[in-house]
Amino acid sequence: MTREHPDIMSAAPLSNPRRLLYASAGAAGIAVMLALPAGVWVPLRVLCIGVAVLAAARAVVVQPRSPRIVASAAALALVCGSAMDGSWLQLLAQGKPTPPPGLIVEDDWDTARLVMRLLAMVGFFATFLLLLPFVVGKLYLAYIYTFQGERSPKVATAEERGQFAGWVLTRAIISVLVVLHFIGIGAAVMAVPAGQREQSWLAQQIWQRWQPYLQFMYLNNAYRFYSPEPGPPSMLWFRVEYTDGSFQWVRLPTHGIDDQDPLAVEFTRRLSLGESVNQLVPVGSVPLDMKRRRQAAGNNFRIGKHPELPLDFQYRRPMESCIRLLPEYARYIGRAYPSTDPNVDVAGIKIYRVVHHMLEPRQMSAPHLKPTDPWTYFHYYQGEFTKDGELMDPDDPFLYWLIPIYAWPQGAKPPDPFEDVTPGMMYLEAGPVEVIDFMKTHEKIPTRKRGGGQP
Amino acid sequence: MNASARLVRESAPGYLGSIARAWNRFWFEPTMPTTLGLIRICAGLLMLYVHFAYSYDLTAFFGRDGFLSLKEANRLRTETPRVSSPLGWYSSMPSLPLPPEDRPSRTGILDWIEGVWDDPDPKTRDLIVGMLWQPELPPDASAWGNHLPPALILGLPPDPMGASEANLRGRGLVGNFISKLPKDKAERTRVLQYMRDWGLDPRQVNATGGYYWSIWFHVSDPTWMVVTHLGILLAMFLFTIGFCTRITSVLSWLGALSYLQRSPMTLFGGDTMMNILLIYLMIGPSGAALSVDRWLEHWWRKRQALKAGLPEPEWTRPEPMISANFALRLLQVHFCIIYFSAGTSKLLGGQWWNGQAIYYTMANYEFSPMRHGYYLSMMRFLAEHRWLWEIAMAGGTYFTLALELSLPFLVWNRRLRPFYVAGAFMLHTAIALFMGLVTFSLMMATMVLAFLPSETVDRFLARFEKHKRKQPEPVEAASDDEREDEEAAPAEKSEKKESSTHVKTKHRARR
Repeated sequence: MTREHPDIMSAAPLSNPRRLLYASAGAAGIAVMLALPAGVWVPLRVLCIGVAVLAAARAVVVQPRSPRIVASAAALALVCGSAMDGSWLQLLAQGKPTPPPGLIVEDDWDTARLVMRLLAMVGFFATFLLLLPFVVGKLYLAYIYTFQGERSPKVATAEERGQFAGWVLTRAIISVLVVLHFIGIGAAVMAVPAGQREQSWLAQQIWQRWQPYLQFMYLNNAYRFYSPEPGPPSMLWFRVEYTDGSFQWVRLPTHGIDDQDPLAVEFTRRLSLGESVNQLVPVGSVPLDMKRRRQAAGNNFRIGKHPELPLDFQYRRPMESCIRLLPEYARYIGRAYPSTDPNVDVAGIKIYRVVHHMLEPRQMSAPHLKPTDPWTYFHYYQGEFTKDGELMDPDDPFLYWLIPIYAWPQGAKPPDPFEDVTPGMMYLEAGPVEVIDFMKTHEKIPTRKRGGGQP
Repeated sequence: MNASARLVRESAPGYLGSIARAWNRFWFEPTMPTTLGLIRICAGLLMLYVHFAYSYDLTAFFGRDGFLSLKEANRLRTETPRVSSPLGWYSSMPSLPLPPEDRPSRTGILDWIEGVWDDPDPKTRDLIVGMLWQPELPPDASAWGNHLPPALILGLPPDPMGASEANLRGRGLVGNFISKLPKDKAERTRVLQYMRDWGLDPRQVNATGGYYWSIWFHVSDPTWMVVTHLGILLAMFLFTIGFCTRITSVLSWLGALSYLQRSPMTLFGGDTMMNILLIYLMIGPSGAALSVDRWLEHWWRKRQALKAGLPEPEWTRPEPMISANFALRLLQVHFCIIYFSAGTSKLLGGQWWNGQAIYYTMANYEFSPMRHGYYLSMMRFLAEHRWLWEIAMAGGTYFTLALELSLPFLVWNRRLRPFYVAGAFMLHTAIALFMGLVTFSLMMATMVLAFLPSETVDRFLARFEKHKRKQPEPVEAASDDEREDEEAAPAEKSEKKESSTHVKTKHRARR
């Protein structure tokens, strides 16, 4: 290990660990005092805690092999954690802290407290590891003295041998931690089901037990990129309608608007929003009454079905964890995209999960087909929401159904989309196509006229 | 360390001893921290970029009323149920098996149950529970009074054991659940509300919530958010240049984690890789080379020496460190797990077998540069020439599969390593160019750097040094065979080994 020459580097600024620890203790003490009056001076308290943690961390950096310094820093981290919300101090002060003007503090800084406890835990564990060779060395020496006497030839090297055993033990402990770390990562990989099969029971059990660690460290990833197959991207499109009848489309993401940064990070993030509602309930047979309601509403509003897909594949209900996010997105869009007229309010926000299919390889060779043709976008309706994120009509017959836009070879007789259609393959690359767009009809349906398929 | 090495040899003889020595050598052999320093700079620049890009959308992603409101984010992190899977073959029976993934039906059932409990006449509840247990339901709906059960309950068989396929296993279970609800109204309301929200009885849940850290759970005032964001960017900048690296590495990781944990629905693969890099850079001495810390240390030494009237100290290379090797090894092993998982999971997909998978990544309009005319023309040209198309797409697909599946095993072979490192760089360059995932690819390429020996990096960087003549020749790391010899031979041989290594280095330098 490299260490600075003590004679020279000890004179460097902020290199006296003892003083640094005193400073840290002082700042932590002030933070604790500030926690007593229940929630006032929060910015100052956070600042004091920051100073305390940084000073303690610097002390550890200066003397990382000193158990005393490391243990003191760990203890200070615990004190800082208590001062984060001072829940025990609040018992003395009575009452819950109220947010001060300026910095808005949620109930308490519980996640920050978790970090402080973690730092303290790491510090105490490091102290244990640092002490181990020393303690084992002394214990072994004591053992030789006690059982073999001071004249034993082993006495001379006993402490060295003991320290070596402690050193081996330290490495063994670190090795066990490494193995446990990778077992956790492996469990996170294996705990995700492969295909339709259920996941490994063993991986599931391990993963559950490693969950706090993996969750906190953000290591809960299965690394299954583009698998089992690279699928089409899923996006979120919002149609914001205002009380004066005007509307605007908000498409997340949109090239040219959301890719302002050269590496398009923000574009990818908005694309991830679409993917966040793309975990779907597995395709099964859609209940008959749901199909009937869709059929009836389709007949009423003249919105047909997609002739290329089996009907059961045209109903894609997201998992509940995804449905939970939709009101959140609607509420955000309602606030972020108000009308230009301050007297006009948002009347409703229709959400579509839009899957943008890629051209088939054979279609790519046809110059009249473009990757952005309207029929490549599959719109799955996710409901209409108020600006406060409330789903207006949970019984909407189109909810989670595909609102088709499809292309058909010009001149060929298309199947009737209002009857039960047999899915067929359309060779669009052969010649010009005409587009049948039911989205134009659907987007204009006012909410109050929906429900039970009655216009 | 020599004494330790001797003791290792003495105390761990035989086959198990050789495994222990190999393990010890793999994880705990000192190495120069230059590669780690290079990874820090690359990862730091990318991290700075990624987080600077957040500046456009700080309140949209992390604000009180962002895409995921603070209220909902707090609810998710504190209320999400954690249920252990069974230790035996069967799961324990839920107190009330509610229809999964169907919140409206669930709410209907629970509202009805709450209505039964809230009835002013306490006998009503017993009456209804009794009726649920009866083999036959009353023919007259008026027998239920104001509490006609939802159709889902009425359609159930009476015996819990009689209908294994039904969502609600028997009316009797519903009756049981009703009678076992807490008598305290507040507690009962809490239980029923939790079941409405999450579909599980909170009394049967192992724990709720998770282990998260984010400063954005606590700071949501726009002004303070900007201040905090700037503070995190500053810490990341200092980490990138290698100033107080031991501290700024932890601060950068905690800062990055704040963004990851608050807004999980906006993340992508690049964020995952960045987090992994930061964790291992934090563990290792990433500031021990190519850093301001190093420069400051030299500057301080020089100043002190001049003050003391001593000759100016020479700029020396960083010494080999165990922790540098340890961090690099962690990164290497993790990288192999990522590749192996990515490769094996692809084997489930038909398009990876028929050689078309790469096409569907390249033709993805949202990711790839399809909106640029030249790229679209290239794709059309390939599609018009099937032979070319098949060779390009199948070649790319099988190359990806072969690399991801074999790298975790063969990259450890010193002779094959350069080819695998080059292959991985090629793959990630192609991902950046044709699939548009530039940040992700750059992060992955940064991880691949972990396989470059520090000596190679040093030699490469030495070309840019002004005073390279003053620098000692970098010492070539011993090959595995040589290391084996060293372990086996007594300590006296070390001198001989040193001279042979020196000769080898000179020979390579001449080449």
